[in-house]
Amino acid sequence: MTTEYLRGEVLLLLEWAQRVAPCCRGAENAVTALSREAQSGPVDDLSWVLERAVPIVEAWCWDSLAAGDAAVFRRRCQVAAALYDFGICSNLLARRGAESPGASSTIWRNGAWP
Amino acid sequence: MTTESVQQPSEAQIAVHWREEEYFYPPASFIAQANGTDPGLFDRFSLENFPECFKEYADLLDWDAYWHTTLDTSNPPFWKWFVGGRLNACVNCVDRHLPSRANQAALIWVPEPETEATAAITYRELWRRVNEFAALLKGFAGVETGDRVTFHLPMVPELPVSMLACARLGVIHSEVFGGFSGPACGGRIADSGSKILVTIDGYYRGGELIDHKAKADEAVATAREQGVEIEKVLVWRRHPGVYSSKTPMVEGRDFFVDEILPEYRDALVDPVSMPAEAPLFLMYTSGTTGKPKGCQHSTGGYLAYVAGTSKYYQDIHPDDTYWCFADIGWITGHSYIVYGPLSLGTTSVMYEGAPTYPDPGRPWRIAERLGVTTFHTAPTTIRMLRKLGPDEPAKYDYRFKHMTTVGEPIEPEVWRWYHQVVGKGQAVIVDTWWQTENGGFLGSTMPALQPMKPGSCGPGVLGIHPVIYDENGEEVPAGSGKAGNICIRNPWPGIFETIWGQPERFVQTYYAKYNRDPKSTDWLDWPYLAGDGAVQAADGYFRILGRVDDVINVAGHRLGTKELESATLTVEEIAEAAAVPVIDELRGRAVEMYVALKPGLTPAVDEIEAKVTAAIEREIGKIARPKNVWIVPDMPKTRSGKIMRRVIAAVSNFTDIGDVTTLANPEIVESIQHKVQAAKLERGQSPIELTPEQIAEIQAFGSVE
Repeated sequence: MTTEYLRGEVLLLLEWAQRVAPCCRGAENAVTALSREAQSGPVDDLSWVLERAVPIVEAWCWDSLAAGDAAVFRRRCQVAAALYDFGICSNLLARRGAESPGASSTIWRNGAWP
Repeated sequence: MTTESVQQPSEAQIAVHWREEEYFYPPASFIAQANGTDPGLFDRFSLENFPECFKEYADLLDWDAYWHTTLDTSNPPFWKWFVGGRLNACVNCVDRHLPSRANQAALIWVPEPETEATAAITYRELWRRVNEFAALLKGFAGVETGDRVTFHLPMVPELPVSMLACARLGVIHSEVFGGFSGPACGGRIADSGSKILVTIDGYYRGGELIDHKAKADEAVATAREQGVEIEKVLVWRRHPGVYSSKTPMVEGRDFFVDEILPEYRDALVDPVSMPAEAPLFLMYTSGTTGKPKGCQHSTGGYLAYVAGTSKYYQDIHPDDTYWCFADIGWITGHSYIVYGPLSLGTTSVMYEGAPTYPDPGRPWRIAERLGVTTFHTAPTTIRMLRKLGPDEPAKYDYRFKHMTTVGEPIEPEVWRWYHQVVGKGQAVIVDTWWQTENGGFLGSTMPALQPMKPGSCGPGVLGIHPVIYDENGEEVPAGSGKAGNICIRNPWPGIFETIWGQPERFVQTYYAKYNRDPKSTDWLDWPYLAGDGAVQAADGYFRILGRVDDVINVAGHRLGTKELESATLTVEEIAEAAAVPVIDELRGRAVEMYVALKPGLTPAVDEIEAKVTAAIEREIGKIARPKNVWIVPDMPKTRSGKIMRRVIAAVSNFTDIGDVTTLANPEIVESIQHKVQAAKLERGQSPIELTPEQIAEIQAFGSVE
């Protein structure tokens, strides 16, 4: 399959994450390592990349909320949501929590009939 | 048939979990205007007429010299198409349209900011720009026919202009997707031996102007480390005259294209007449087992193939407004934004930015404004647009006659939304299957002649004769419900010629598995291994199941490792799971599951084993029941946290675990090895002698090419 484009979309999202990362070497390194993995591994490993990227960015969201920085909080939430939505829509991530309309991908991944 | 066998899902169901669907037929209004309405096409492209059938595709092009040999098989599997023929790809995509449609838009570029004007570039204007940039490449950058030039460009019109300028000169272009990092770009520069890098200062994505030039410096440094020196970096500017990057230009190396181009105003460059088999471009794909693969695509064969498939499967007409919502950084964009559509003289739309920016109605606003007739995108984008704006298409007054889906299998439920909501029930859908290596479509339906079936890409396209083989090279019959490795019996003009600089890897990866005689020059002895699993229904339609490397073949049943691991993770106590194959004398391969528990839990071994087994049986079926379930304190992982399946597969099979020094936790390997192998011996599961092929399979497990 011509699935290389999935790699590209994940890389663009990780670039976006880099731009909202906290100014500390650890945060940058974490996303850089994921980008490297996304660039070089098999396309199926993008699941693994997204599974790690989403909680990293979500943690940054909480950090900015704790710091009272609403603007940064909003930007980071946008990135976290974009990573999650892309993961769900590409079937690279399993959906969290209750099913909602359009949740076929989760049902599909879990092996039940749609 | 026993009750148990009735309850077992088929392999196709295991892998994709959807049923056979009903057919959908194209509307009469589509058939009336379609390019492919003659059922005689299928006879003309039958195996009996191979390879001469592809003359019909090649005749869509203008040739400087006609070929004397349609297919040269003298050095298999390095096929040569249309040998003796000469042509120029740029002439075929630009110059030849000037007499009839000079003032028709060749490209319509939609910038991401909606405040910025859409740019329509006519065929005449495109011809001007291509000539001028070709003159700059030749005169200023000193490139010559046969050189390689790397682009690291996003979705801006300068990208197709640069591609076509190279094609005009007989220079091999190598576009690296804009989202790749500088070092990744540098690795591809080094591999191709490019001396020139073409980039841009910035581009818009998600509402921000991204600084792109910074990556060029990293790319140049990486290429230098790998022994290749970039002589010039040519920098387009997103806003000519305004530099949008914070990265300084390097004196004597970096040059703004818009400052040099005036020196070449109105310059004309004679197109270089190239042999049909001359490389047109390289398209890199990533691989984990070695350096990236530079797929080398030819000039004549590739262009003929994308022109033919664009005509019959994309149903492109010159007066269409065709929008492939993909990125030119991938093969889909090369074939079905640039070379295919432009070779047919149509209007091709390019969009710069994120699909849902600033809102999920954006694609439909573009379609309405430009009068798009033909739309082409990927299932992931369709799912995204459906999730974020399920009712948006109805708000806009556009009408598609034809829609394509590409890149991965599409679930029937999503297919129906695409058909009913995006296509408003009036557009045909072609679901396509192919790969970077293939140049163009391999499996699809000809829209006016073959009905659509959600979830299936369709049969082989014209002149493509797929076959499914099992692990032993036996043909898997259509309608058997059995899955196997989908292969193509015959060469075709769009197939890549080789992996740039790695001919042995080319043969080994794509042909060695099912080759019948390495000395044979008969193409029938060289089936092409696509690397995807598939099942063929009785009607001849294929359903693609995913990469073959992701499955464990248990007694002829192909079990996806992802499905096994997902099923295991439904057990509440389990934090991580990895499925690996173990060589089994009875069943060929058996499944072993490695699981790590959530922190703080004390393993109740028997209980966990039972729960995992029950979960797998429930979610997948009894055929997938694991031979062993091993509870481990942690998985062997890379420093970035990826589970190294090849290491645990080696443990399970008593083979050499290889180099583990680069792991984040190498100490865990010895502990797992000791515990698991001792337990296996206790259970009477002694090591068995493996063949070299089996050892290679275990060592390669988890490393998809």
